Amino acid sequence: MLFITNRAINGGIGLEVGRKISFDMSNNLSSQSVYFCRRNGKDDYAEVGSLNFMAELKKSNVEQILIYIHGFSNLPEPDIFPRAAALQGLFDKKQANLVLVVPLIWPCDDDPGIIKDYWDDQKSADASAFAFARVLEKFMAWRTKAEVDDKEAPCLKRINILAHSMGNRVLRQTLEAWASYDRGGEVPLLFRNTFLVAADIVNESLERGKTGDYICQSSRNVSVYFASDDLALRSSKVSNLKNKVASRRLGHTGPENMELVPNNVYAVDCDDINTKYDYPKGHSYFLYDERGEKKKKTGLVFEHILDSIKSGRVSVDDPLRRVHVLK
Amino acid sequence: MDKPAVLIIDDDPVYLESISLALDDHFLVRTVSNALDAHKIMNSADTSFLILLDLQMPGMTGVEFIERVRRENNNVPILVVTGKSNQGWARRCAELGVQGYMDKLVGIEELISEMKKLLIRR
Repeated sequence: MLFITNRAINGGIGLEVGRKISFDMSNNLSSQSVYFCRRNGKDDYAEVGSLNFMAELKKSNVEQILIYIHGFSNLPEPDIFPRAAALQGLFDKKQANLVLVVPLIWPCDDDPGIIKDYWDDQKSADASAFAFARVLEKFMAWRTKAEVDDKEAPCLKRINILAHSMGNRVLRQTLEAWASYDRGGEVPLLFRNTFLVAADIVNESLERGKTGDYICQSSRNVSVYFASDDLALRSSKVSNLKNKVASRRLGHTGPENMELVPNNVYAVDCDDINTKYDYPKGHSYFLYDERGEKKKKTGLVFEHILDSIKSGRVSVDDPLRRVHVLK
Repeated sequence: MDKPAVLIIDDDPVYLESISLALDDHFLVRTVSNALDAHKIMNSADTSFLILLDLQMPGMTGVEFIERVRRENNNVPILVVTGKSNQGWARRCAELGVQGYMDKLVGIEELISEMKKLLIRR
């Protein structure tokens, strides 16, 4: 599995294609360096380098890329890779060679004490923005290379993003940093679909002129999956009181006011299924239906994501209000 | 018609997760994380399996597993799917009569097609 990370690694920061790397799990400082790597097996990673990484994506026979940004308190082996692998398995089951899942790993940790851990991770999420803005520059170069070098064909694979929980904060801050430092205050349309699942950001974030507006500018469609009984987001709301922020989370309510967000934003209410798929927290509901069947069935959120990836359009019950209820 | 049974032997839970999800519409999938347990399952189950086997595993390696199975005159079809190949292992697997040898990076379509071919030959 290919992956990108700004987690601290043991060893030097200079690029060495093929070198074995390991994460420095005691260090959760967000690195300014990003590493383009391959996971060969459990705790077995090798640096690939961005040029080889992009060349491999271009050469692969998959039609589309899905960048997966994980949530807080997630570690690579126990949490992030299994979830990325489950996503990959479900896509492969539905249509071989449609999607390649690429996890983007940022340096959160799993310290004891959920509130302290939450705050540490929120800082790591924000501090990861500069490193990941460089990743987006590389994807832009990959996409537009033919404009500067007509010997090489451009890569036409579509890029989608799935941000889960605090990964939404990583995405929002990354796009803001990218716009501010590299793109003259704007962002290009780089993604086909952006899926914001159980988003741990303020529910007004996507409104025009707010920081999350860049998410809408960078993507053809933005689908917001939310559930009012998501217990993990309740903890987040309590944690944020420390900073005197009592605002509602996007993953709880969807956009506060659909009239204030751009027209490419869709709100998908997952209240009827989130706790059935992920009991009791109702937070990680984008994979399969976990209601005890031996064979894991794809869940409705996954099916909705898949349909958007295939068609490039977001199907909703109410196209005027851009709202959909999954049940 | 019943789906053919496949036993996937790999010590990497991440690989087992993705591959079992991807295959379970086509095959009756059973997974196991080490070769010793796989051997017990093969000897106790009524079903005959197609084996998908990793080579580098702690404890009994994939090559040792094949040697043991073949010593027992069990000609079960084995498809080696490995992330780390080398010529020595590939040669040894061929000598032991392994029916297929693939890289883990192979696409799912190609893997399923190879598995189906092996099942037809059986």
